[in-house]
Amino acid sequence: MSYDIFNIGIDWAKQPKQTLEPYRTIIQYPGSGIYIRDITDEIQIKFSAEYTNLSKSAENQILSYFMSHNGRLNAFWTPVPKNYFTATANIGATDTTIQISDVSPIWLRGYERMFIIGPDLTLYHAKITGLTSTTMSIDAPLGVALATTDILLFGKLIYCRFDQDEISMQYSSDSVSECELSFLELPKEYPSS
Amino acid sequence: MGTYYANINDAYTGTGHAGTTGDPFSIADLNNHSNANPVGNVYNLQGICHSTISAFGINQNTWQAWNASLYGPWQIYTNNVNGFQWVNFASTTGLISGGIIFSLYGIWNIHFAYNCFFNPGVGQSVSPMIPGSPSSYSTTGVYKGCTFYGNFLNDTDYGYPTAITFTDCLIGNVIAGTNPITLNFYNCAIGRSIGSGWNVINCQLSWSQPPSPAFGAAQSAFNTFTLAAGVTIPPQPGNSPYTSYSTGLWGEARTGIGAVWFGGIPGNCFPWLPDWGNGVEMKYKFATVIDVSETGNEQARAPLFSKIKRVQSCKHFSPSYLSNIENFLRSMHASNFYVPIFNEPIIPIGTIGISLKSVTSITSEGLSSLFNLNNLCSFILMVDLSNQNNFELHSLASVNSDTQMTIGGPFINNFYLGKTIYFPVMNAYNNGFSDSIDTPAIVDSALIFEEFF
Repeated sequence: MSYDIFNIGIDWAKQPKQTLEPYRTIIQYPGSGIYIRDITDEIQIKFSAEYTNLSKSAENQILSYFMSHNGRLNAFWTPVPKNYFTATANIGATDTTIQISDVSPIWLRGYERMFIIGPDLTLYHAKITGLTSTTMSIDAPLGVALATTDILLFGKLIYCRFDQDEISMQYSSDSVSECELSFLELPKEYPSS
Repeated sequence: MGTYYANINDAYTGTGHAGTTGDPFSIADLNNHSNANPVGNVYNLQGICHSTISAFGINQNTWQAWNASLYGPWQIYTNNVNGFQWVNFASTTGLISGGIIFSLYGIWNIHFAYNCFFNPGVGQSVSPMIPGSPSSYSTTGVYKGCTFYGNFLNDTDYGYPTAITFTDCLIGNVIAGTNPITLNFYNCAIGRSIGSGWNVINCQLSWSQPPSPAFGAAQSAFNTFTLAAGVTIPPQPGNSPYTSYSTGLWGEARTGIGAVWFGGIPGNCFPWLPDWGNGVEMKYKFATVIDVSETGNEQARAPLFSKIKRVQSCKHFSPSYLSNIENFLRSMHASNFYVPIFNEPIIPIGTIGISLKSVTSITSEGLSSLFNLNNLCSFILMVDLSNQNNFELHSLASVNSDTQMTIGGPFINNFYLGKTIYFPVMNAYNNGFSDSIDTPAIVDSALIFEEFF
């Protein structure tokens, strides 16, 4: 499938934030009793980041994307800027198995995608089809050979929407702007393939 | 005294109609009845009439539009060599309003007119008097929210009026230089320099009046954007609430001066630039409704807005324009107007002339990088940096390249290199105004403009 990916460089000096959004009900009874009702075990990832020192063209790119996706309405893919994995061996251009360091495979639900950002900031991605504590299987090779030292970021690509209907663009001059964007994963809506 | 209705369309003929809504007067009935009953009647007119007569029996009655929102203005054109003449020129109570009057040979005896459009013919005059008839001299004329083409008056020929007042009018020219005459102008745009004995308040002089629409032209030809092009603030937006002339020619709410159509394209602009020391904020927003099922599925989502909405916040630190800004916002408190997208300034580098529509311009990164200009903009505001009350709004025809765009004309004023800045604009209303008063003369105004659609 084709991936509609939002991938604009964030300002790492402003520390992106990630939270988990469990969907449950917590009831506090009189006395000491607490009851937790599990509504769904699909825990959403939510993260936000700041985009600063934006040029006019970068600002245009963000606003055009936001407009074309009607704020919170339409879903897309975006990389969570966090190293969920660490490659322990170089990756071949035709490999569909990637050697990784010790990872708990418990959370694998079958819809997850991985991504790698290479040395030239190109983003490579694939669907994760299997996961053990030391290997990751993907549905298609990345098409490029990557040494472990080439990998800038090895994480999860999530299917999400903007978690805001409003972008506040701050202009300290007429040529530079900054804004904050927030994303919310949609676990129930991952495409099947 | 009574209220009557008239259909003055050419095709509606005959006499003896009752003057009711079901059987309105024809133009002949109207004239006969208004002459036979010269005082205190109200006639509601609709239709377009080509007339070969000159004398119209308005007398001391009122001729006004019959539901202008539904039928538009009443319109009369006469090619009679005696022009259009209002019978009983000495009327002090007669009034015409909501009409469009064209003539080949002048328009005379016009004393009280609200929201009327006058075109007296090439080289001809609109006048409160009758030419060559000294006994007809009048001293009174009151005109509010009117548009005048041709000349107003020629006092050498026509006499010595002493009390003529124009309020919120667009006036192509006035000839009244040699005789003792007092003319009062309030919030008018006038196509000449000040004359002797004139009392001029909040007016724009030496305004270049755009060409007149033809008689019977479509409503769109009378829009304020075209007919009031080049009019500054003041005289725009005039003297709200425009008592007795609160609508435009097609019954829409009046938002400025002249007898025009105030619909279609907002004619008012907020041209004053913000203080960048305080930064500018622009919010881009949707209002999506999200329905989450008990399993966490988001299946029902719908946008409240059909397109992205912009909200601009900025501060104005401009002692020179304090009263302009506050008065403008007060008068526009219930209206929409054009506001520049301040964060997308475009600096022209080509020669700017009165007829130049293709403008070579620069931005920090090129025109294609400007989001608002390329996605959400139909008009460009040109602001004269040496006097920000001087501006022009023009349609954006195309963005041709990173350094060139084409703007629709015609241009009214001259804008000069190094003193002009362009902005894409949005149609907005004021949604916040608060002053921080540093000294009585220096004030920071925090403003919020929310897009109107």
